[in-house]
Amino acid sequence: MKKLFVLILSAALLLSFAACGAKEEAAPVDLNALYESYAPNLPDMFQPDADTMMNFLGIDTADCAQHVVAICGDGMRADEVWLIEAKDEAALERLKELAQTRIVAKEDETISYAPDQYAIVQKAELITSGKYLALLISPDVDALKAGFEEVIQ
Amino acid sequence: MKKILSCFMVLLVLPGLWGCASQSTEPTVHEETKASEVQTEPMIEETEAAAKIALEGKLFLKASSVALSIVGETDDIYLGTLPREAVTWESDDETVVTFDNGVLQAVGVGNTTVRAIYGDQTVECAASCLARTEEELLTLDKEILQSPKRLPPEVDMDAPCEDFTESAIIGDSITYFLFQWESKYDYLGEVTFLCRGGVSLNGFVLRSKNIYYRGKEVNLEDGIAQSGVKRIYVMLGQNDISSKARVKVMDNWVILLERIREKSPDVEICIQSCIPQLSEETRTNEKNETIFAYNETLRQFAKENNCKFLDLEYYIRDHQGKMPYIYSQGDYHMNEAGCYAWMKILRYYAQYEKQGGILS
Repeated sequence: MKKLFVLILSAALLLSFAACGAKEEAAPVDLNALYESYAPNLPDMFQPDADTMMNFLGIDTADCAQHVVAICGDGMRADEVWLIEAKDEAALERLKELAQTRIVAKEDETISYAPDQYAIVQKAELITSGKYLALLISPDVDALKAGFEEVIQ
Repeated sequence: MKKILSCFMVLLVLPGLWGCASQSTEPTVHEETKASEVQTEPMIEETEAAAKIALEGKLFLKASSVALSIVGETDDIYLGTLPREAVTWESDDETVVTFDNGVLQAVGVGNTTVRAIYGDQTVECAASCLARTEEELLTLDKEILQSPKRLPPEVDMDAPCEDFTESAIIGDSITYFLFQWESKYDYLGEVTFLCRGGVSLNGFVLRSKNIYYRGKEVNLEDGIAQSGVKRIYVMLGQNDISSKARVKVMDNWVILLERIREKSPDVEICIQSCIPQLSEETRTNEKNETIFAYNETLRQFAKENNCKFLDLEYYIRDHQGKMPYIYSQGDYHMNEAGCYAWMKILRYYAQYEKQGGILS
């Protein structure tokens, strides 16, 4: 009887360890699917290739485990979306700095050139969570932010 | 006596014999000339023909279609690279447009086709004239008046392009619009853009408004140097000429070129003309006249400063001297159709340069 009790207890302990291990590995976020969900809130956008991302934005795709970077393709509208999973902490910091620079650049471009767009850039959201980063510039920034936070959690 | 007479006879005969021999072996000067003419005329024709065929070069016209506004207007549409005198010029209807030495001249209202021919090369251009007089022109539909006067030649835009891999395109928001469409369709291949809304020659010179390259704000000359490109296409001045005297604008060009060449001594510089604006305001015509005058100054400046010159204004112009309506996005910028025309022009002139043409 004692042996049986010990056996059952051991099995229970093993199962609990397995459950703990499973809880530590979070399901990866599909950033492409997230970006697709943004479609109704965004104008016509284009996604620059790796060279353009580097030359125009400073983003090195080697810093990204996955990424969706999209810029408005319709004239001087300010809409822009960066959804990035950084490779590591150092990469995240670099990307964050680039995103902050991008906001400053867009503010400077639009302040006198397109005041209505400047108001949109001023409400830009730069969010980081774990290795994920989102730069959201849109008249519907609140909806985009909610979508991001939902999938990250 | 007999001996003297014999000698005399010999003396008489000998010249005669000599003369016969000369005639048979050495023609007279006149005959010699005639003979030489007969022998060498075909040789001259063959030589000329051989020289024509031997000319290396390709025919390029500036446009695939030209609509001249009124009778009497002319347009030189020949680009090269062969000498004009070697080319045959044809017009299908000389009562509409004549085509001579590469120059179109409107003679009457209508449409026709002109062509340039050299050897097995033939290049055609649709040519038309819209009206007999300025007054008659203004009675035409707005759609016609606001259409482009000239369309660039056809280019296979779907073919991969490697002509701009080591080039950068530089400018203000007008260039930024080009960047957007190029990034979407990749018509210029791996080209670098150094553009930013609101930049100006004055801003670059004062370093008050710079360019962004790889996520950092840098002086334009540093951005060019860091990119390592071998050629730059620059369109600047639109944000300068309305507020500053042209002399000051050109002074800034001098300073900017010096800085660029100091950091990138081997970079080739191609200055692009500015483009006219579109607006219903009557002031727009004055602004556009300022732009046209600036472009002519730029052309001369490019020549004097070892720069190439790409005349975009030639294509981005309607019958009233404004930006064609179908190309416009707002008053100053070009839409997808306008940027597509711009990219086609860039690719066409890249082909032209590869065949020995010179941008000027």
